[in-house]
Amino acid sequence: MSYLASFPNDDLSAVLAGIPEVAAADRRMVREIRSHVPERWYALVSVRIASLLGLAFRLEEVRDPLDPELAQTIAIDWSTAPLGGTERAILAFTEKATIAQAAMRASDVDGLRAAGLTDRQILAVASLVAYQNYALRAAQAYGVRAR
Amino acid sequence: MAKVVADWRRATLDQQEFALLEFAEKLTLMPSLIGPDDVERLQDVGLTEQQIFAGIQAICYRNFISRIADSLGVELDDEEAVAPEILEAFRGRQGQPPAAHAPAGKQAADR
Repeated sequence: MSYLASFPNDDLSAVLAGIPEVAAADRRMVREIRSHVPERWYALVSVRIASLLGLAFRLEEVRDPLDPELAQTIAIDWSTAPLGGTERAILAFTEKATIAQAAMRASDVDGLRAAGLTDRQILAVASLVAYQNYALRAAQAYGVRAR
Repeated sequence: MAKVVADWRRATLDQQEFALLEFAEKLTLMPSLIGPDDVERLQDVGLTEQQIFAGIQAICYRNFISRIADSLGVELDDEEAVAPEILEAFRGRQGQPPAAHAPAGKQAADR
């Protein structure tokens, strides 16, 4: 149950539904991001951000479709995970944008481009990283499940 | 406003504003430590649940949009509209070392 009695639900989507305009914007954002990045990228980024924010206990909420063992490896030390070059570039970008956003430079985007991402995919990945920095904090603050 | 950017704890704030900024800082820099006590603290200073809901959205939204801007190299939409002392305060904070689990001061004070 949410910490807020006026929003008595136990997952983020349901709590946001308390303010329809917020819920609609959230749904549209998720839909757009998911339409431009594979489910696996979505999960890799989500798991890594949960870990970086100290919210590793939320891995089960965001790891699908990754298997639990891979999710744990991504959370603890993704450099040892069996990942391809594109996924490594995405996780490097994710890490820096989450914990050192003020140090982001054009070279960080160049790293994604060099790994083969199109500009639209780069925009989608940046949006995903930003979105999970929003959604995981919101879930924690409301006291509900993330997704 | 420049005082809030530079060091909000020394700025002239009322009880609700202080509590909200304290909550914003914790949710931004140490989200894993946020719990029901933090929400109760906001209620204790008189914020309604609707206001707390909106406050959380505002904090999380800033954590979203500032990352989009920084990641993709997007500048402020209308930097000239921001008072010089506020811009100076932002620049001063950017030189500070990052806190544990967190980006540099720019984020906490971002736009």
